[in-house]
Amino acid sequence: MLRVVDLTNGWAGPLATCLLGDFGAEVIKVESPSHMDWWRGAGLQGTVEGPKLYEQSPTFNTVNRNKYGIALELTHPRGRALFKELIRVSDLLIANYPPRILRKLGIDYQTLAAVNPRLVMVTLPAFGNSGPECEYVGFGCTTEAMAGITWVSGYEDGPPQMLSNAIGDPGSALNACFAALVGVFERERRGAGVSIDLSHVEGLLPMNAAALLDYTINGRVQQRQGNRHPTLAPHGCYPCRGDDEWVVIAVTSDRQWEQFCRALGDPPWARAERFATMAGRKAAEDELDRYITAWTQERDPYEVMETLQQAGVPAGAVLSGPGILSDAHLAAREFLLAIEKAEAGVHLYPGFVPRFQRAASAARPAPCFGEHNAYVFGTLLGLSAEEIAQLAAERVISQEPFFPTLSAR
Amino acid sequence: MGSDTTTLAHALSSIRVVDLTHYIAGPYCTKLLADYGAEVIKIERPEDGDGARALPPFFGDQPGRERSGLFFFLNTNKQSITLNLKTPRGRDILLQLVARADVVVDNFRPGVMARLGLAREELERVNPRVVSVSITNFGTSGPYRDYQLTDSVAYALGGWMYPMGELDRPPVQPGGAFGQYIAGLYAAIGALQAVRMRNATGEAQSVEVSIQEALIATTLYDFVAFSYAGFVRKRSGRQFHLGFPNLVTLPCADGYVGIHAGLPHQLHALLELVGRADLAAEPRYRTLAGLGAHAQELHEALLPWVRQRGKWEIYHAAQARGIPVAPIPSPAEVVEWVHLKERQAFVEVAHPGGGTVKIPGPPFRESGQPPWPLRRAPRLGEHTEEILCGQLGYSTAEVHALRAEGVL
Repeated sequence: MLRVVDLTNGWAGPLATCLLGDFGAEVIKVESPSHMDWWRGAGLQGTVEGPKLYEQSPTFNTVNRNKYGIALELTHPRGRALFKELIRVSDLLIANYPPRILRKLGIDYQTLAAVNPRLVMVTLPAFGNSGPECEYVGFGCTTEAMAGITWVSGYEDGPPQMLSNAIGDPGSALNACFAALVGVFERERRGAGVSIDLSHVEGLLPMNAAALLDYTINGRVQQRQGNRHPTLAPHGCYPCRGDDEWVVIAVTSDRQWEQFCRALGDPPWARAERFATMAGRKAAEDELDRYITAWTQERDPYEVMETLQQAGVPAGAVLSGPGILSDAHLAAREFLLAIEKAEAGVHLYPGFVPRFQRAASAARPAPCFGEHNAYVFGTLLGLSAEEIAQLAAERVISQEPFFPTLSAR
Repeated sequence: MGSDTTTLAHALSSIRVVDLTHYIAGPYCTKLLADYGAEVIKIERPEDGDGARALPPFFGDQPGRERSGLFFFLNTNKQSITLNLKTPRGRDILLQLVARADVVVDNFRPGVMARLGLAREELERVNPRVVSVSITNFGTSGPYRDYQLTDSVAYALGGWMYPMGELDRPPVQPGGAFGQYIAGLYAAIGALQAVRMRNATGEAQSVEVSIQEALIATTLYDFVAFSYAGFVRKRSGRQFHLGFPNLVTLPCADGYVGIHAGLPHQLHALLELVGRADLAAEPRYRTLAGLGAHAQELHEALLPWVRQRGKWEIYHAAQARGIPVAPIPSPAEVVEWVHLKERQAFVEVAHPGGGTVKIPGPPFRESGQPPWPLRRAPRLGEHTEEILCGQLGYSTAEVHALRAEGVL
């Protein structure tokens, strides 16, 4: 079993360690009494009252399951010493701070490798550990923009569109999880630890490879395409019956066009000569979309999707949050996972990706603030109850955040 | 190999992979394994190979089997052999490769591996320790199992589209095909974790990744927020609307900037930078909720300053004060960005037609070290003879005979 020290906050770092926790690693999330993970203050729409709001963030609670949680003041000498004790008995450290922060805290790789020469350390600052802009900072929407993804996202006649889900964070989380596992293999190979430098931005470049290569190979700067496709038609997002209901349809060949027409009952308009070929349909795309809209508007998204998919034509309902909760396919695959957490109750969370044939797949709730101080400092590091109480009295550890909301101080 | 301790180029050199993947998600999974040192043998159809060979962009905009830039990127560090899996001899050769492999990766539609006589039980029969990794559109069960998938369908059913765009327009799909890459990453993670479990138990292991589930697991969990408080996130145009409405895209003198000062202290620093420290002092701007309620007013306060300046000037001025801002670079500006050049984020790979091609390098490296050289993607069947003769003991004459019979 791997023991992972998780010195991350927000979305990217915590999702990386969440995956390792899902795999059975013992992940110890380190927060600070004076700086709770700021993600505890995020995603609280509709949850505006009640005690301990910082235990009720759906986003925080999603990406921190299967972890132990401690609150330790790293700026305090005693806190730093305890952190090093924890590193001594751990395999992995994952941290998402720019280089200067780790130096300031005195927990750079050289220092920690002296404590534990087999330590695998993955640092994932937004812009990497070197280069002129390595101290710059960013959220997921910043890093995905710097990989050129925002530029190619949005309506064909509009400005670049920030991704509403931000691929920058979860994309970097997956890169960090992969990096951690590569680091573990490298440790076996060389018989010693290793320090890995993961720049969010660089890890996201592959996800925009087609546009970046079009420039490096052909000097072309790709532009936004909205829901359209450079060569395929019909290809779009169409309104359906109901309030804000939509379906996407993509016809990728002339054969699929014939299947599409049959699925619609061979309407007279579809027999027009100009629609028979992909090039013809592409040239008459606006007109084509008006006909298709007239058909989809009379139906709900699932009816359109099922009618077309059964005819072999790619189509998909545009799922909202509640749409995902009620989707029959996800239900049949038992994808969503019910987890009960103190102060938050029972809720549904994303299930395991990837799925293993032979593996226990349990999920413990995200830790409450400082919930496992006693386990980590007592059981793991061998401190007595009196010593732990003394640490709390000196505000080196805590079970309550000193600043429980995201406010300017 | 022990002497090579300043690069991750050989980290996975203990892993042998038989790669039955095509297009993007599967090949990206095996590229990740190959770029970090795994031995990856790519199996291609004899007639036309991996369908990604027909994906743009093409060198010189001329399509051709060896002319896809995307294929070139997705298949570095791999070897290619051609094999007709529908022939008994082809299947035999494949199983010989499986017998000496650690991992088999495929992204066929559900049921295809079984039809080819390559169901998991068959793989485990020739190799009881094999790890099999399957990437599918919607998983191997459930009502959508056999549904068709495009990037747009994946974004729609994966929860990415509904909150994206303007409220008075249809939802808009994100650019690019990152859903495929996300699934590939999950599969690469699954492969390594499965090998670790296999090494610990000695038992075969299999891993399944559904592209739809991979996408849902990487959204901002709108369905969890709905489960908590009945909150439905709608499209919010140029703002980011999940607790941080202060993230916004604004027009500047030469394009657009992403103002991502999401936390109160960042926004206060930004207001000082644009000469509006007066607003930072207002009580309603002290909390995240207060900032959210007055987002429109804030954006208008920023606009006069932003409009008069270029995006890179704004970026550096803000970042120097610890404020997250992005200049929304074009793909060209990303490639030419000095920071990435200093870090050698793009690497040059020799092209068989002459010259080199600039592609994104390995996504992470050992701290303080440059990335390592990548071997170019293989030509279709480039290593067929080398692998059959060198690793499986076939003679050159046998290889020629198999080729004549349409097996290779």
